[in-house]
Amino acid sequence: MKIRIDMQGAQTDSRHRGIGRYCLAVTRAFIELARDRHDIGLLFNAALDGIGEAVDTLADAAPRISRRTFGPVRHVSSDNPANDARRKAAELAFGHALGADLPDVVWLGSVVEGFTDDALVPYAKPEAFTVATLYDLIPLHDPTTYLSNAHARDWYMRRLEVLKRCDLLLAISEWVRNDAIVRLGIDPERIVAIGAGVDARFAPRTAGIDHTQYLLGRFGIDRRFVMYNGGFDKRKNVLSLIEAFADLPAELRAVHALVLVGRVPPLLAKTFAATMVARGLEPDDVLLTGFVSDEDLVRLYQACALFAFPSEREGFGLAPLEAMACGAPTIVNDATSLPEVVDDPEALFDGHAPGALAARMRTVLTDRHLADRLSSRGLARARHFSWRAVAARALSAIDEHALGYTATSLDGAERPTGLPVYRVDAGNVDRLLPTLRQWPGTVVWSGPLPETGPSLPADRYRLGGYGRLHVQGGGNEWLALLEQDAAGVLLDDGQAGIALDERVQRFRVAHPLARQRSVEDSIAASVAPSLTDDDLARVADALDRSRPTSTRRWLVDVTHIATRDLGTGIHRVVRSILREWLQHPPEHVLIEPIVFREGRFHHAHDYACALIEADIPPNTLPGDLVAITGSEVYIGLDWTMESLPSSAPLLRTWRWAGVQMQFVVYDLLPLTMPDAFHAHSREAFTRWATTIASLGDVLHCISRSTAAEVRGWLSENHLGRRPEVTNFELGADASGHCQIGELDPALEEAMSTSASLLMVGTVEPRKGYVQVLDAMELLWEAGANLTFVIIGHRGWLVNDLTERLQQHREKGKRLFWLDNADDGTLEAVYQKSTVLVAASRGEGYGLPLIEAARRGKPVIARSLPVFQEVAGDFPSYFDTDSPEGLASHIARWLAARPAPGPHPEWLNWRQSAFRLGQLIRTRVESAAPP
Amino acid sequence: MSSLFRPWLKKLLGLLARYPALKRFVVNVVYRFPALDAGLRTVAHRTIHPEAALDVDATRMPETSRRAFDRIRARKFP
Repeated sequence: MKIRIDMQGAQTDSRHRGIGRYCLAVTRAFIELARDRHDIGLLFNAALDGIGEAVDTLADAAPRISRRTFGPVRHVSSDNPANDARRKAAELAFGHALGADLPDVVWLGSVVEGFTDDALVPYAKPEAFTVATLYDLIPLHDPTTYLSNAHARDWYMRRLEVLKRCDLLLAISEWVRNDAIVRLGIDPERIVAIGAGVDARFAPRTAGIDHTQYLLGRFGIDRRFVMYNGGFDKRKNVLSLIEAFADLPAELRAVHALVLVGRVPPLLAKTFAATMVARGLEPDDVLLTGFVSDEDLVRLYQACALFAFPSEREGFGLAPLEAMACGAPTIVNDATSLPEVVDDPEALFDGHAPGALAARMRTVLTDRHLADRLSSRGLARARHFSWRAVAARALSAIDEHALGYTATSLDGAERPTGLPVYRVDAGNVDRLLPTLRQWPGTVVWSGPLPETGPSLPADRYRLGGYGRLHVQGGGNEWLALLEQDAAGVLLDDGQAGIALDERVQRFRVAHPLARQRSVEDSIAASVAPSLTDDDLARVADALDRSRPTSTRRWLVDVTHIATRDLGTGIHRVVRSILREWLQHPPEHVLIEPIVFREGRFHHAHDYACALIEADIPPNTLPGDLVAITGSEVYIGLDWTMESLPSSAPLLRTWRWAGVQMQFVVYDLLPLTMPDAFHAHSREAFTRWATTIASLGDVLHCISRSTAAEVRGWLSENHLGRRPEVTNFELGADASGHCQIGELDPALEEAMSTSASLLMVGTVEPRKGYVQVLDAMELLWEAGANLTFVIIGHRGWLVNDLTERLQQHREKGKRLFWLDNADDGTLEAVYQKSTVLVAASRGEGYGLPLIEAARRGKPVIARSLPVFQEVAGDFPSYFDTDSPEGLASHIARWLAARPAPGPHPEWLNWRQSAFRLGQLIRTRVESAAPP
Repeated sequence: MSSLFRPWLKKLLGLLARYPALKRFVVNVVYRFPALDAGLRTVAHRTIHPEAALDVDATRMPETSRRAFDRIRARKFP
């Protein structure tokens, strides 16, 4: 079965309370249990927080579970009547999103959200078998407290109607189940108690571990303590706990404190303080911890002398169960679901009887044997509550009830009666396409197909991206093009009209675009006139992006290179790989270069067309803003250090929506060689690295050495989820593909009459130029007839070096620095040079070594692991930091001119792009639902 | 950043990009003061790449969403 779970219960403020914990825990256990048998997908609400935490929490349980987000459509909470129209439109679209990929089962994780937040419920019951978790009906027990506000009452009653319309309710306790049968008149056959569980981390203290000092330091707890954990609304009855604590005998109070765990609203804290004063308690008798982490919560449970839970009404009672699982002696009010949870008469007190709580507390605190009994029975009882068992009950109920279910209602929207039928043939297809695109309908094709496919660039792009821009296809392409915008394409094969009408009707009911059109019609007919353009834009966007798509798009971020190609090594890689991908895209993949501009990602059509030299006028290709559905892959191919701080929040929402995030890492040099970079560059790089580590699903490094550095950096610096790290090899241009330029006569003369050493790369500290120049000076002084040529832009932190180069006595004679050489000049210098010197102290790869070798030039290189990885034994390696050592190495090499050793097989750019594409595809497929 | 200053800053950055020697001079002066360097670069980057907009609006939305928007506003197939 295809099961879709609405995760909003783990997103609203509920995520800090029991509902959020429940929603996440049961989803996780359900996925673990059912993922091999069912296709499970999660739907989050992009207008709410908590997606990142939920995704990370479920990451290991749900590596192949699809996830999507809806919206965001904000300002839809029910507490403000001004939101009503917006909310109705959003709920119509949300219902459509839940059923967009035609699931068999929709599970609403919590319908009691959305009064003060932007959570949504489907406007009407989805067509799929619909399940909802029922936590409690407590507001019906105490309407004065919870439902006295008319808006709150109306909202709650509407939510109860949603529950009533569900096909199956999963109650979190028997008490809740019985309550729903009595109060809502739910058919007992349609509601199942699945209980709740306790996480394995809630366990007794390990022998020998004492939390006393930790709790003293962390919370100021300096004695034994009675503990409460949970909410602080009226039904929780915490005030009576303070009063009961005050009623304990003075000698007991003297050695115990009362510790209240959780966020206490400021007003209530004042009430607590007043009560303490009135009942003669000292300020340090009652400690308010505020919110605590799960780790601290476990420590507190393990260390407390007694856990007291005076709540008058609970749907389940997760806190006492957690306390029991940690071995805390636990007493609870004999009310609602709590006796069901503890299942121990000795652990109960009558919350309505005056003094009963204080008496029970006194007994447990003074009777060691009773405390031990409560502790051991509680532990035994807690073992019955596992999330796996809860998930198993839920799965069994869904399997049993959903089997054979047939939809009895539609998604609340009327099916479109006006969905057009287009009669298309070879003569009118190009004329009808724009109308069809704007007003989707079912296409009935009559007659023969045209001999050739569409010729407009925009149509060709739609058919297969940039690689198809200049490829003339066959007539079948018209059908492929029509299918992109039609609610079904039929060939009129001469069957009787009724048969054709039936097929058209089937499309009208089931085609995703037809279903979307029906929701559009509902919104148009009901609330659209009340919505502002911006509100409607958000609803229309959320609705449209809910439609499932089978197109695999790789969104390649070229923000920086598209703005300005700096000609750096990184930009050469970006250009080369992207060009290959655009011209020879991975199979069934649409490559879409994108740029981040004015706060949004746009298609980089102009850049892409220029890169592959496609002669397309500007603004010809469709779409400007990038729309994501969640099935895409984002590829950070370019180094986006400057734009990522601004684009990261948007990319994060993409990741939450299901977009796989993969980055290419060229090196970690600003981290490993901080002295070679400006302070700002180091900081910016650290921010960039931290961001891609938190955003990325996979980091593709350009060498094994870089991958090892990245793994090391992640393990030392990055907490939380770690991206996978892979490596691939770069390509290199074959020699002779570039026209050879003309050299300056002085340079030509010098290189013709002496051996020449060439260095290629930006002039910056780590490249080792100073050491080589020093060595060259020693050789020149020793009478060596050598020319030294540097080709590279001026970089950073090299003022002294550049001054030295510019004022050098050999400048223009035996020393040449070409800081703005074009490819032709580079080629000419390569041809004439004797040897390439690669003296860099740190590199992510070593492209110049390969490029020199491919031109038949030997290489003298520093003995870096990455050079050895890339170039094998081809170079002559030196391992010295002294100019003398290097001068001696060069002199020896020049005297012997040894033949280069063997090297690994080097790739061209097509092979390199293919390998990176394979890595990306493998990761995408391993994360896709089976 | 104030949208009032962005166009001016963009022009200034464009000017520096057109004159590398001037840009190098400015960089060589500024990098000696790391805090100032960091601050100016952050401002420059934010000027070129303003904060991400997480929501669409009626003036800026993807093409297919725009079509859905237009259909809803138009109400009926013409």
